[in-house]
Amino acid sequence: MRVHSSRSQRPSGDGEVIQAYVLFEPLVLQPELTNLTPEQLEEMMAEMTVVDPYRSIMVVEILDEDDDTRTEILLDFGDEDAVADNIDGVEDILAGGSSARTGQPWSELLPDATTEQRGDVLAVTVPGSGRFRVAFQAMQSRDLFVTRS
Amino acid sequence: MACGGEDDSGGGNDFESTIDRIPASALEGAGDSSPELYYSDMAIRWRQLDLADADAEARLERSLELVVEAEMFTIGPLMIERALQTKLDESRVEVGFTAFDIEREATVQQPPQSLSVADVRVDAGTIDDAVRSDPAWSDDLEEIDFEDGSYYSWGEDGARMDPGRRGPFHGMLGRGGQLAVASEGDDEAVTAVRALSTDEVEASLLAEAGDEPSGLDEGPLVPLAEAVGGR
Repeated sequence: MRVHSSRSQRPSGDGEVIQAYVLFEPLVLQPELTNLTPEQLEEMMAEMTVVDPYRSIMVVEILDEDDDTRTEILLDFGDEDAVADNIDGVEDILAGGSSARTGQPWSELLPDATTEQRGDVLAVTVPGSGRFRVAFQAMQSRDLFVTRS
Repeated sequence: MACGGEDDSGGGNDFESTIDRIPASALEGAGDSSPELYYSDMAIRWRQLDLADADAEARLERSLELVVEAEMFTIGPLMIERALQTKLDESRVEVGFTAFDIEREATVQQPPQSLSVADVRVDAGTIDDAVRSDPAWSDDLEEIDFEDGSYYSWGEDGARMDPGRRGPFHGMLGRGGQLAVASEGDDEAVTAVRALSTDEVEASLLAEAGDEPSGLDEGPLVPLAEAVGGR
């Protein structure tokens, strides 16, 4: 039995993947990772823009043919309508939101980010190098595109 | 003897060919926990730093200087315990290679389990010599024949630990686990699969042989992998 029936049909895409990190669950703020009390977190959550629960999140760094680097953050909602419903919220977070852990604006941490719908996936692209580490560390501390628990 | 199956990845896209060796079953959540997947292509970094052909010692020296450079931040290999990656000679004694010989790697972690698949620039004979002569672990070594290859095993002991035998490959906790090595004849590079359970190493060998779905065939990684780079 061979189960790789679709492998040859998979597009190879452009650029080389330098590194990637995937969490197969939506991110939820956790008090122990933010140095905030549960009450402070609740207060913050009431004021901040959050996205609807997605299925998984991936950050990936890509080196293109011109030796330029970009970071992509991919949110799999499993539904095209859900992507359309959340793209404005994600843009709001990128333009006016801040890291719960450091207080720094996402517009400084992930500058010039753009959004795009790729089927069931909402893609955020951040040009330039050095942004993968920001997104990677934010994911590890459950502080990026958080959802309500 | 080289343990493992035939490497039929056929080159091409390194990200996909590496991830394709991760069985879909490894990406399923268990209980309240869900797995985390890490991927690093160190070969790209070494190429960017003009260290593609450098030895492990030179790569280690440069990596220590890179710690503060955000632009060159790389997750790096996890098959070799991060805190012990500077112990190059100890790593060679255990398995014949070091973290700085790993060109690319994908690791799925869902404690206490961990599964890594990696392209390593070492020949299978060097690994074989090392695991057979390792003074700390060779007494526990078994070679397990399997339908889609074979692998080394130091016991089905994901939860059992022996910190007294810690090392870069066996980790701070001194865990046995399994290692499969796939090579093509006398190639100076191999694919290595490191697991902490028989089920995981055998699932990876089955996925590589195409006898079990890989993470690119089904499961939660598929839509993300297809969206990378706007594919």
